[in-house]
Amino acid sequence: MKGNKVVFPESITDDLHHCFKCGMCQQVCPTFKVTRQEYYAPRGRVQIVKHYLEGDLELTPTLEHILMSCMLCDACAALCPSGVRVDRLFRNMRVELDKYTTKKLGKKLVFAILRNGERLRKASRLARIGQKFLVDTLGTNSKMGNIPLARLPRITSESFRQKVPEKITPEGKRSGRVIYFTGCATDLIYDDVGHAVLRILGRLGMEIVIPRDQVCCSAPLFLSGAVKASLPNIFKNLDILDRVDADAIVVDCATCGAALKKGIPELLEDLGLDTERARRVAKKVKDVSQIVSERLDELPIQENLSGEPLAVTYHDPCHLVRGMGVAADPRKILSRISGIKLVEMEGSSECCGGGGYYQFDNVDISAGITSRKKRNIMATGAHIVATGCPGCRLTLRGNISEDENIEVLHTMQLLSRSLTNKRT
Amino acid sequence: MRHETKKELERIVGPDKATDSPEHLVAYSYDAYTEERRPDIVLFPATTEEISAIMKVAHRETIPVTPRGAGTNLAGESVPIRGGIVVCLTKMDKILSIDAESLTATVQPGVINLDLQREVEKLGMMYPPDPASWAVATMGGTVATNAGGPRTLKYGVTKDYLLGLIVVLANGDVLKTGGRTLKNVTGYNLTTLICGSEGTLGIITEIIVRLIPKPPASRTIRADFMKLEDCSDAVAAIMASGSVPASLELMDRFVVKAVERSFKLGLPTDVEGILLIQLDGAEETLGREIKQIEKSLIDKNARNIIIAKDSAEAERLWLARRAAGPAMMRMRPNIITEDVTVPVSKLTAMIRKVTEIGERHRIQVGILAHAGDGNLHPCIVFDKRDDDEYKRVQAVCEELIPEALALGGTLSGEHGIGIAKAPFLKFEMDTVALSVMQGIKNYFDPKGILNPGKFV
Ligand SMILES: Cc1cc2nc3c(=O)[nH]c(=O)nc-3n(C[C@H](O)[C@H](O)[C@H](O)COP(=O)(O)OP(=O)(O)OC[C@H]3O[C@@H](n4cnc5c(N)ncnc54)[C@H](O)[C@@H]3O)c2cc1C
Ligand code: SF4
Ligand code: SF4
Repeated sequence: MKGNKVVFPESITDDLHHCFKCGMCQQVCPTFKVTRQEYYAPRGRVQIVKHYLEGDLELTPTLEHILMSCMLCDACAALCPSGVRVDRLFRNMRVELDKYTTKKLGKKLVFAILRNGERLRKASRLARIGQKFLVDTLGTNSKMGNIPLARLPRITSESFRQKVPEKITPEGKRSGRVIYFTGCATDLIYDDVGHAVLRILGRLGMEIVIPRDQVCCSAPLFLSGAVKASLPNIFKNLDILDRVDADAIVVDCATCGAALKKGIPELLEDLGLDTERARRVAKKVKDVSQIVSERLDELPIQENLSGEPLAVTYHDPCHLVRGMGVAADPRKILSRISGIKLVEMEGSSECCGGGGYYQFDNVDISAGITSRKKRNIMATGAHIVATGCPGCRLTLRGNISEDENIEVLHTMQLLSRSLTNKRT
Repeated sequence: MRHETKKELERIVGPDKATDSPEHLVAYSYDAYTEERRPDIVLFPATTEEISAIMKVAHRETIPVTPRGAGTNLAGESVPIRGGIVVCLTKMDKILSIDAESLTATVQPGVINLDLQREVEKLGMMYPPDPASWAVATMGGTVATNAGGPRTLKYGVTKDYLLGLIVVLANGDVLKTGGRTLKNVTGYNLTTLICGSEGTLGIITEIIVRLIPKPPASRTIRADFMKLEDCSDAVAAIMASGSVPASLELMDRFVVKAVERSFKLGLPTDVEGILLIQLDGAEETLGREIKQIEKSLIDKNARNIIIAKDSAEAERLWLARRAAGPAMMRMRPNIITEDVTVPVSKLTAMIRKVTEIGERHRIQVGILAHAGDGNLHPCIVFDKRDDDEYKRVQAVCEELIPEALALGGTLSGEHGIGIAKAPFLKFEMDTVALSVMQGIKNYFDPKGILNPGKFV
C-alpha cells in the first residue's frame, strides 16, 4: 500500500472499503448531532482515516482532535448497514496517533497512575485532600470541564478492596461462586455501589471472591491508543481471573465489563497475540444486573404498597447496551422494585457525553451531548436516574444542579435499598 | 483560491464556520457516490443574508459553489467536482413554524426530514415524502433532488408537497417563490423548477411545505411467488384494481437469499419474488381493499399470503424489506443502487432484462423495487479494487439505461442525475428539451458557478 505505513490487521483495512459512504450513521452519532459537521460524523472519521492510510493526510493536531473527539460510543458500528466495525477501526487508529501526540502532560500523568495499583491508591488519597483544598480555595462554583467541583464525587478515604475481605462466604447454603471485578471507580470513588453489590449477591447465597491484587481494566488506556502501556495490567488481570475458580466474573462497571467481554479479546487479536485465555475469561464475564435478574424471585424485596410510586428513568450506558448487549436486565430489576415506576426517556441508549477525559478535553461537544441527555431526563419528570456505569453517573450528576433535585444511582443501589433486612 | 478571497468568505460566516484544513476538506469531498474531489473551503452559513454575501463574492471571482445537505445522494450531486466552495446548510436547522390550521410547515434547509416528520406527527399530521434516507437527509437536499420514497406510490413526491421557497441566486439576489396557499398560479411555477435542480439554479434557504392529516389506520400484507412473472404481474393487477396501496415493494430471489444469509429472518428462499404491501386510510375501507388485493394475489398464483394481524406483526414483515439494503451492502465492499424506472406494465420485462444483463457480464445484481410505480433499484455489488470487475459493472449500468428507455421508462426515478447519470441525459431528452434546459441554466447562472460539472 502506498502512503502512511501503519500495520493494521487486514480485517480492519478491509472494513474501510466496506464503508460505502451512505451517511446513515449520522443519525446516531452524538458528536455529529451537536455539531452537524461531517468530520465529527462516523462516515467523516472513517473516510479521514482511509485518506490518512492512503497517504494523503498527515498526523496533525486537527486529525488528532477529529479522532479523539469520538466518544467510542459504538452507536455507529451497531447501526452501520454495511457492518463496518467503526469502533475497532478508530481504536487501531488511536494507537497510530499515540506515536504522535499533543497529549497534555496531565493526561500522561493519569495514564502513568492508572498503570500501577499502588500508585493509584496513593494518588487518590492525595486527590481527596486536593479536592477539598480546591473546593475550599476556588469555591464550589469553579468547574472541571463542564462539572462544578462541588458536583464531582468525593474520593473515598480508603480503597473498597482494602476494606472488605478477599473472600465472603454466605451465611446459609451456597448457591454459587463468583469473582467480583470491582474496577477503579467502585474501589476508590463509588464504594456505595460495591456495598450494594455485596449485599445483593450475599442475599442470593453467593460466595464472593474479590481478588485484592486486581488492577485497572485498562480500557481508559487502550481506548486512547496507549496500547503498550495497557498490556501489563491486562495480562495481570487475566492471570487472576483465569486462575480463580468461579461460575462467573461479576462487574458493576459497564466499561470494565465491555473491556473484559469484548475490548480485550479484540485488542489482543488485532495485535496478533494469543486470545484463548482472554476469550475464556470473557465468556464468564457478566454484568451484575444479568446475574441478579435471573434470580430476582429469590430476593426479599420489600412490598411498598402505600403512596404514589416514585418515577425512575433508566439511562443505558454505551458500554452496557452496546458493549455487553445488556438492556433488558436492569429494566426487569427496576420494574420489580415496588414503590417505583420506570418511565422511559427518549433516546435512553444515546451517549451521556462523558466518559474518560472526554468531557475535559472536548468541553463544547460534551456539553452539547449532555444537555440533550439532560433534556430527555427532565422530560420524564423522574426524580431518580438509574444507570450501570460510574462514568455516566459522574457525568449526569455533575451536570444536574443541586436544586434540580434528581438523584443519579446505580441500579444495584436502588435494588439494595429495597431489600428487607431479614433473611428469607 | 486566493488567500484574500478565503479570508473575505471567512469574515462573512465567522471563523468557526469556515474551514480549509485538509482533514475537514476530505470530509466534504464525497457523498454516497464513488467519485471524490476536495473543495477549497467549506462554509457553514447561518442565514440567507450570509449566503447571499457568499454568492456575491463567488460571482465576482467566478468561483464554483456546491450546496450540500447531508451528502447522502447516490449520484455525486454534492461532490464539488470543480473544487471551490462547499456551502453546507446543516447549521440552518430550525423548524420555523408548523401551522395545524392551514396544514403547512416552514423550515430551514438543514432540518432533517425525519425530525420534521416527528414534529408534525405529534400534531396528528403527516409529511408524506419519506426517502429511505429520511433519518439523515435534509429538507434542502430532498427538495433539491425531489426525493420520493415508499409512500410515493399513493402520496406523490416532494414536489407535490412544496408550496414555496426562498432561494439565493448565483449573483446573490434573493428569490421568493410560491407561498402558503395550496393554489397558486401567479406566474411561472418557479418553485417546481427549483425542486429537483440539484443545486444548479440556486441555494434553497427556506422551504414551505404542505402537510396532510395522518391516516388513522394501516395494514400490511406479504405475498410469496414461485415465479417472478407472477409477482410483477400481480403488481400490475393490484394497480389496475383501483386500490392504491401506500407502498408496494418487491424483492427478488437474489435479495431474499442475501437477507437470509445475513439476518436469518425465516424468509422462504425457494421463491422467485416477494411482495410487501402497505395500505392506509380509514378502518372501514381497509377491509374491502384487502379483499380486493388478496384476490389479485391469488389470481396471480401467490403461493403464500400473510396479512399482519397487528402492528407488531406488520413490523416483523417490514423488517425483511428494511434488511434488504444492508444485506446487499454486506455482500461485497461496493454497491451501486440503480434507479431505472419503467411504466408498471413493463415491470416484468425490465426485471428480466436486468437479470439477463447482470448474468451476461458475470456481475451480481439483486433487485429491489418500489414496484407499484415501476421504480427499480437494481443493487449491483462488487469490489471496486478489482479493475476488471469494475469495468463490467460500468458496462451493466450503461446497458440498463437504453433498455429502460426502450420500454418507455426513465433513467432515474428518484436518485437524480449528478455526475453518475449526466452522460446519459442526451439519450432521454431531445435537443429541444436540452437546449431549453441550458437556456434556463444560463439565465439563472450565466457564469456557471453553481454546482458545475453536473448535468447542465
Ligand atoms: C441508504 C440510502 C437510501 C436512499 N433512499 C432514497 C429514497 O428512498 N428516495 C430518494 O429519493 N432518495 C434516496 N436516497 C438519496 C438521497 O438520500 C436523497 O437524494 C436526499 O434527498 C439527499 O438529501 P441530502 O440532504 O443528503 O442532500 P445532498 O446529498 O447533500 O445533496 C443532494 C443535492 O441537493 C443539492 N442541495 C442540497 N441542499 C441544498 C440546498 N439547500 N439548496 C440547493 N441545493 C441543495 C446538492 O447540491 C446536491 O446536488 C437514498 C440515499 C441513501 C444513501
Ligand atoms: S453507516 Fe457504515 S457504510 Fe454507511 S457511511 Fe457510516 S460507516 Fe460507512
Ligand atoms: S463511536 Fe459514537 S461518537 Fe464515535 S463516531 Fe461512532 S457514533 Fe460517533
